[in-house]
Amino acid sequence: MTTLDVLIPHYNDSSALALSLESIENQTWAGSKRVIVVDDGSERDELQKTEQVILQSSLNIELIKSPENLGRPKTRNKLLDAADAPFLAWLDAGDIWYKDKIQSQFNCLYDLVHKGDDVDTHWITCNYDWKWEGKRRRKVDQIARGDQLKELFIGDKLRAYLWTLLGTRKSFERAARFDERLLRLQDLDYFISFVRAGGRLVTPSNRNSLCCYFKSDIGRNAAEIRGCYNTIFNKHNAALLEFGPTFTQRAKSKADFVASRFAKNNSEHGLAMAYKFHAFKSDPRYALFRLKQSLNQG
Amino acid sequence: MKIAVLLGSFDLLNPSMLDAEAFQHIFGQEYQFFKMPWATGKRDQTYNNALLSNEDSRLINAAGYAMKYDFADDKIPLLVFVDAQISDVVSCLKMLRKGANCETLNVTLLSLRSNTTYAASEATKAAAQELVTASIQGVAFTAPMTVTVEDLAALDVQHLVRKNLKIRDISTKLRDALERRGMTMSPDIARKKIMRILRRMTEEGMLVAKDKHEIFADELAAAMMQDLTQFLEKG
Amino acid sequence: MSQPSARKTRLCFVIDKLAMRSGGAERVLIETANALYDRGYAVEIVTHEVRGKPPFYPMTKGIIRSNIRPRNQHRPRLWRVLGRLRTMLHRNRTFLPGLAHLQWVSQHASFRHRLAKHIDSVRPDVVIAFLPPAVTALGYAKITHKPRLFASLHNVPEQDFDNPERWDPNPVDRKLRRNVLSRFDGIGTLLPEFVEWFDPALRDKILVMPNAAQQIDAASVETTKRESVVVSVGRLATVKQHEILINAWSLLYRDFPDWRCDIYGVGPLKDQLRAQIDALNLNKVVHLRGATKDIESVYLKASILAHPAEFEGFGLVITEALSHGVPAIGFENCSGFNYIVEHDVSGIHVPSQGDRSKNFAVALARLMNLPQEQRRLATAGRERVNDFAPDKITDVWEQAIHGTYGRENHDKQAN
Repeated sequence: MTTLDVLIPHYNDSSALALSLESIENQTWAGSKRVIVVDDGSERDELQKTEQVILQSSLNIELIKSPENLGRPKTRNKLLDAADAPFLAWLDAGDIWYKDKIQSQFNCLYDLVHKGDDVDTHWITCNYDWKWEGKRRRKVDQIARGDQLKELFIGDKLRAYLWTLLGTRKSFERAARFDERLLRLQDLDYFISFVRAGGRLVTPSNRNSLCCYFKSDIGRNAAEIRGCYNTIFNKHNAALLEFGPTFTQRAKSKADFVASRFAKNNSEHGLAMAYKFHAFKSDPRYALFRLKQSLNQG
Repeated sequence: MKIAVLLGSFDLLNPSMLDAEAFQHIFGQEYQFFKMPWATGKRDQTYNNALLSNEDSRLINAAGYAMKYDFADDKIPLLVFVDAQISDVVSCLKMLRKGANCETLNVTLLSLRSNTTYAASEATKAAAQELVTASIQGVAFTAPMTVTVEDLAALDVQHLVRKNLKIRDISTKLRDALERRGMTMSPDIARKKIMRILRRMTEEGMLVAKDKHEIFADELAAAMMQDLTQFLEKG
Repeated sequence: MSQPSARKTRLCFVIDKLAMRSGGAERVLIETANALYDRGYAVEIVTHEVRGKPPFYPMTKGIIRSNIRPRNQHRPRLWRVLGRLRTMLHRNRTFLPGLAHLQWVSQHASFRHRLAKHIDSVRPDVVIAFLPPAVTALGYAKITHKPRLFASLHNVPEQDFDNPERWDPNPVDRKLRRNVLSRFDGIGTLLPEFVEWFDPALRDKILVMPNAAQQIDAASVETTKRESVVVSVGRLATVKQHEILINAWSLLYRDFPDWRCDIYGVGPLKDQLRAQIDALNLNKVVHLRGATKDIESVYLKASILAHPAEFEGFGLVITEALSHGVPAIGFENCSGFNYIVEHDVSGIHVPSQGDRSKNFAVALARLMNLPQEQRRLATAGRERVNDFAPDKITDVWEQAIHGTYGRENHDKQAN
């Protein structure tokens, strides 16, 4: 019986996949696991290399091939459909887990059972390292205290990254499915749906970084990101109404800053300024706070 | 679900001598000591005895749950109880089955016996017998397995125990020696360091004589201090 | 029919108000939502209400609740003052042409507009509106995304659509309420006989979906000790016609000195009924018991349910009594009652012609005299309630969701 299904979407990057698989092989957790890779229509060469990588791995891996490129959300839904173990964890090809990630998170689950909590309403997230191309690793703490719905909308203390998660399959069903309209940020929508459906995120007692995210904004479209934010704000408007317009403006202003960052990293400086201006219009106080912050950091 | 239970008395089952790896040596790779690091504050030195106190039934429930998922299919979780009351073991097994949500809990009873180094506890043996005959709904016992220390495997045990004692002794002396030089080291790290060094020495065919522990530790401390100074000078 | 628990089909229930509401339709909505969530659907409940309080009935964790009305406290003061003025306007009952339309827009247009926006951004597969206010709002909502639209009605159609006293008395609303039905892909009504009311063009879309009745374990029904008590349960309102029961009791109480009549429920007619009991000198044998939290044990002690109501949307009280092994007596022309209870099988149909009180007394007396008859009817009644087992009703809901029913189907049901 497989206890844990590790779900990995893959597209045209077999060496990145190899890196991720290796980090799964190195896990100290000894329970029985299976890796499910859905290849999202990679080109023929890359697909062959991917098959090679999978053959060479000592892991139990199931490869599912999409005949065409469907995009992240559909691929993730395919992964959800393929999974049938009682526990699920996610990883994106190219990112890695540190060796005690899964054990630390399972320990957290056992602790939930010990406390008498319902494991099917919890997701275990974790602190992680964030590595920009050409920069040093930076540790990012996931803070699970307070109103998690608010924190997710703002994204400063609690971030919606699937590869930080371990949970029961039932807990993932609580968030239903990935919104196939959202080519970006489908994790954010998934997290928000989970919390709105009565779910809660917890962190393990191991406060070390348990995984590493290799981040790059290159080639990602700022307007697409901002558009996805809008879809999410509209979809979860009922939750925002609860928090009031001041909060909503803050969340929108923050989204503008994220889009601005993407634009800047893709050398679209004019667009980056336009988003910043828009952020200022939505929530001048927050925009000024960000300005002050970036001046302080030089 | 399969589990194994090792019962015994403290003169034989002593965590400072027989640790998790030792059991694997004695009973085979299949058996893996069941650790509970998630039960905060329950990491006591007496193996799994925390599960026998009736105060926290949810702890046993969680243990059953953890047992079900934390082991590969070819591994059997091993529970070690020291000087246990049979009635406590029975109620523990019942709860474990509930926690693991399985139909039958297949329990292999393990015991250790020795005529020389350690006195075998006849009482424990009798207790194990009593357990096997006790009928607990949903719990099945397979034939008990006894390992006598005089056996070949047992040599390994004695060797292991001796090795453990040796590590403990040298690491204590190393810490003393370092302290004389104005440096402190946690017992855990000292133990690990010595274990590593001894292992490497064994590979090279070297051995530290029993009466030379003190000198060895002192030399080692001196070398470590020197390394440290060099490291600091280099920056 | 039920899908694996992938939550692929997304359902959106819409009801005007839900916070702290303890009515029958609200209960059906939450029980249905819970059951469908358990069958693997993704479920959201959308409301449009000032109060942000949780619903009265327990909702399964996992269902998302969305109140799409902006909260008053987040509105500017001027808007709140205007809001109060608008509320005053909405109380107007003199409907002049043109102005009535304006009043309707002020009162209902924002629900319709917000609902459209919400559905377009959430994109559920099926939207189910409960009760006429939500049905009207959903039907006229300008949705770009095209989900399946289902209207769930919970009363006699004449009451929902023709009675000027019910819902919004504004004639504009009444007209829209009627016309909106053609915009739905499916319409749910409680009883087969209600189908006839609807426009023939709509009948293919109609699905008869009774309310679910809770199942009581056989042991507690069979071992209970029954007393010589006739109970009546329901709001103390005109439609329930409690006065007929009280009159009937005045005709038979001398012949049945050990029997008493307990009436449970609260409502506007309490004082009037009390006065009637006093006037007929029935204080010692007829009691107004008010509301109870433990209706179960009331049913388990009672021998007969007296249900003199004029009509019922469905009659949850009747299925409740039947499932507890209590045979029911009611008028032959009472909708709901005559659907659930078959004459001389699971209860007694009282003739509605002539002196109704006298007729009721005759039927009661006959059954009170024959304990064996009581038991026979009770046994058949419990069997009948099986037809409304929650699982079966949830099956019907799945038909509603997927649209897997049609003309033949409801003909079969009507027979």
